[in-house]
Amino acid sequence: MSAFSTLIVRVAASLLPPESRARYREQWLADLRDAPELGIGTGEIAVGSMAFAMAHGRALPNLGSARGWTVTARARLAVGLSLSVAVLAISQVSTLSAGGLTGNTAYDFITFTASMLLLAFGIVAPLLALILAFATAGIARRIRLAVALLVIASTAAIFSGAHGIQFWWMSVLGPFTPGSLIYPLAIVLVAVACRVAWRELRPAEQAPSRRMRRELLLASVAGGLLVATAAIFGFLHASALWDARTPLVFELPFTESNRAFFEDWMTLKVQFESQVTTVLGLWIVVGVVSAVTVALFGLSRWATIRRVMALSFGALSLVLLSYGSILVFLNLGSSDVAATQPVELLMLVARWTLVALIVLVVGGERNTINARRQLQSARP
Amino acid sequence: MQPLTRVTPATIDVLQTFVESSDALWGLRVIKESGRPAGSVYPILERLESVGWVASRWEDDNSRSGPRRRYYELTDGGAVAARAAIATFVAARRPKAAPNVIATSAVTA
Repeated sequence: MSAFSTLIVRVAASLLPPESRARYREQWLADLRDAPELGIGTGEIAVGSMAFAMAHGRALPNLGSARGWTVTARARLAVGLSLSVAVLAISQVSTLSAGGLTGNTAYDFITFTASMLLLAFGIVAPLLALILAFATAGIARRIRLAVALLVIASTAAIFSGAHGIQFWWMSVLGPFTPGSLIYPLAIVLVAVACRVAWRELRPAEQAPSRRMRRELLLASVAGGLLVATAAIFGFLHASALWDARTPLVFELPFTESNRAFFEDWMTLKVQFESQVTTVLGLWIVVGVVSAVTVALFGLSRWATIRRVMALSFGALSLVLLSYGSILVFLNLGSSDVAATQPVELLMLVARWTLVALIVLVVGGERNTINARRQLQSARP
Repeated sequence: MQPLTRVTPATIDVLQTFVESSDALWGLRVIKESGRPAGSVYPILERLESVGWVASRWEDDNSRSGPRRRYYELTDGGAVAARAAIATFVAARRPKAAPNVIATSAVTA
């Protein structure tokens, strides 16, 4: 029996509840010892034991067998936390970079601290989501699946970014490499996870009065206009900056030692610069779709004032984040214009807003279909 | 004994392994005979045991040193329920004859 398989089996057994730990440890160690006798790989026993530990929802610190509202609350929070990190990781990988204290100004301190907190959130939130989803007995399998998919998607996007791809659309527009598939794959995983989680956490449908319906529509149209304004302003601003730009290559102070590096870098940039129109077009599509979605949400069966406001601010954050990303992508946030600090700050604020909204809206939604069902079944 | 809430093809394969065996089986033998991976078989055995279809005990053989094997066998009620579950599963999986085939058979007869 291999030492590694033995270690996995021991770890798997230790993750089980105390009352069954000794039994399964001995059983699996016997299986490991005798596996070669039947031509079965010890690795399969190790994987099987770990799968068993995970499937029984006690693989992580046991949070007890919660019931009713507590289970639903933990499920919502787990999805909210993992979804927020997945959205951040896909929207821009450098989200999770901590930046640095390059100066001594208050601005440097604030951005550094905010970035570090975001980094900490990006590490802690998926772990917390996994613990909530898998360590609570009674959490629906769909929720566990959704959380697992979201954690995989965010991890994949972060690792992809660490290997040089900065924005998801670069993986679409840039030269094809196997790594290019990671972002689209992560987006698909998030979509599937949302679909799976939706079936468990779907909000209860509303039956608003006529007056209320009119107010909802007004609120959502106002939200849509706000998002559209931000999108149009951002588009015009980025286009104007792009038209008036000074080529970066003339701005950078070259020395013999860094010339080769910047020349290589500029070659790479030119590749993307040819796609500027496409990128701007893509972004305005994101803006229009966001604005229209918000505006029409008021007609939806799930609309409430709270949800309309949350969706409006979420879409606004997304548009502002895209705007900041576009400026960074076009390199308009560096030496061409003195816009580095406002852009960084804008993106940080947008990211934090997005995180807070997703966690609060998904995690705080009490009026779900399943919650109502549980309440009804709990009644005598 | 409780009914199984979810009967998957892997569950049927495990039940079939027990039905075809006259002796108690240890977990590894079930994995081998059913052709299912350990990751499927271990949870199924736990589920069958928790609903009372299967009972388990440690091996009696004291000659083997080290950890003991865990043996599983169908309970009396479990044996009946397992056969019924297999029959139901097989019947559900059996392709139904298309109407034109039946008609052709009738004409031939």
